[in-house]
Amino acid sequence: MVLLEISVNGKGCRVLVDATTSLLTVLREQLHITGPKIGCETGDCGACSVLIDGKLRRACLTNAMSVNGSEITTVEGIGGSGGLHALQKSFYEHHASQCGYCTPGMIVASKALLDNNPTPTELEIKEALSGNLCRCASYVNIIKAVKSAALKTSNGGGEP
Amino acid sequence: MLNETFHAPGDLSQACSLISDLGEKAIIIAGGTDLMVRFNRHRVNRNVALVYVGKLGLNFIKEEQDHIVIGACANLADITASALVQKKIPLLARACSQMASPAIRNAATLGGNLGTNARNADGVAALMALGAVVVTASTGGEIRMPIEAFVTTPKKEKLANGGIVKQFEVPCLTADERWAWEKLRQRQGDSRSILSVSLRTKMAGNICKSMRLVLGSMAAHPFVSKTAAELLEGKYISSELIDQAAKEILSETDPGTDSRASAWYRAKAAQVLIRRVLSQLV
Ligand SMILES: Cc1cc2nc3c(=O)[nH]c(=O)nc-3n(C[C@H](O)[C@H](O)[C@H](O)COP(=O)(O)OP(=O)(O)OC[C@H]3O[C@@H](n4cnc5c(N)ncnc54)[C@H](O)[C@@H]3O)c2cc1C
Ligand code: FES
Ligand code: FES
Repeated sequence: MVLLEISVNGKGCRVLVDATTSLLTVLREQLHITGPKIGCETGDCGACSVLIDGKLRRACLTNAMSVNGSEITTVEGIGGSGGLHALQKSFYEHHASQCGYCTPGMIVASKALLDNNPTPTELEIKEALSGNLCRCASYVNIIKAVKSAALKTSNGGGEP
Repeated sequence: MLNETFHAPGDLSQACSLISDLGEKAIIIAGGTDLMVRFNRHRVNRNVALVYVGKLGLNFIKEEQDHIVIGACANLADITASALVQKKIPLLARACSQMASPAIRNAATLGGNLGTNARNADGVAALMALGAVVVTASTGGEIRMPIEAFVTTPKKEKLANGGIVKQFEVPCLTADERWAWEKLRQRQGDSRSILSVSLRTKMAGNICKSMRLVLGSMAAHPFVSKTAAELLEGKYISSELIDQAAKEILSETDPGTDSRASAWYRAKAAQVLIRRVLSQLV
């Protein structure tokens, strides 16, 4: 086993891991941070999306030790103690979740988009979420929710 | 019990010695987008030494004389966004932009794409159409090899002494050269190739001066079509010649059937894509 030191949602964590373990396994099974979901573990669904040093990544395809020393943000770290993030509010207002299993990944991928492109077009939203599957097919409302959150945050009406 | 170790060497010569010392146990890991799928599936009986190559400073993209040199650990998102790649070898920018999804492109590397040895490795197909050279490094020194030779050379020879893919050297397109990239996939976003056809060519009006046409997913590896060069170089590109090429190139292929498409479908679709890329030239 090897020692992994990462910061998750601003909190420093030290944990012993197997060298081939994924970041998703560490987050869920060792740190009990269950926002990132296990969908496929093959990189196809996006349910495990997290930000690693601000970049959108698949936690299931990320070797945990390869991100030693990094800053990880999961859905739990978006909004956080300051209340819900504009995206989270917007998902709620637009009924963009049905079962909710894809929602953490959708929120994280949308956050990555808005961080880089505060006023995305519909096509850009679709491209940014192209790796996130929703088996309940809430896609139309998810896109509406991201558009509306973008409008609010870019007009200064939402949390950063 | 697992007996796994993880190593993150900080420079290339250290990495080469480490891999040579570790021998058969060593597995190179870069972005992990291919390797982790395998680790996630087989949780037991692993006795491996992972050597992470992300800290070797191999993520550069630079211009050297008339080449663009890309480090093996440059990720697909950075390659897609690189102004240098977009301007000098746009074929590669287009191919990388259509690989996987944004989250995977932030991690997946070009070196890893070659390392997968996959018949549908899009980065490899694009580099091959461009005429790239692969540079590997090991304790025995560096080896340079055209990418089409690299994919067919046994691993023991091309990565002797536990070598690492270090960089790709890609000749810049000249003003009189044209390119095309077509990838057939099940949906627009986040989808591996059913097949790809790409080319780099020199044209003088409708006369083809040189033709490097590559097919991906139509054989065990992407390959440069000899038939395309023999049939088209020095000829006036007419619609009849394009039809003939689309049929004859098929004789070089060995398409397989998998979950994405049948061999029959691939053969039909390849003709359509070949016609499409060649029609862009006239
Ligand atoms: C959902 C999904 C979609 C995908 N879509 C596409 C697609 O559209 N097109 C496509 O081509 N691929 C696709 N892939 C496959 C994969 O993402 C790419 O092949 C990627 O480029 C692999 O790079 P990596 O850095 O993640 O490789 P890794 O997983 O780190 O390594 C892959 C292999 O290469 C070896 N390796 C890595 N770096 C080196 C090096 N420097 N020297 C020697 N050996 C090395 C490793 O030992 C391993 O065998 C997809 C994968 C997933 C999960
Ligand atoms: S669980 Fe990671 S992409 Fe599906
Ligand atoms: S809301 Fe159920 S998977 Fe998306």
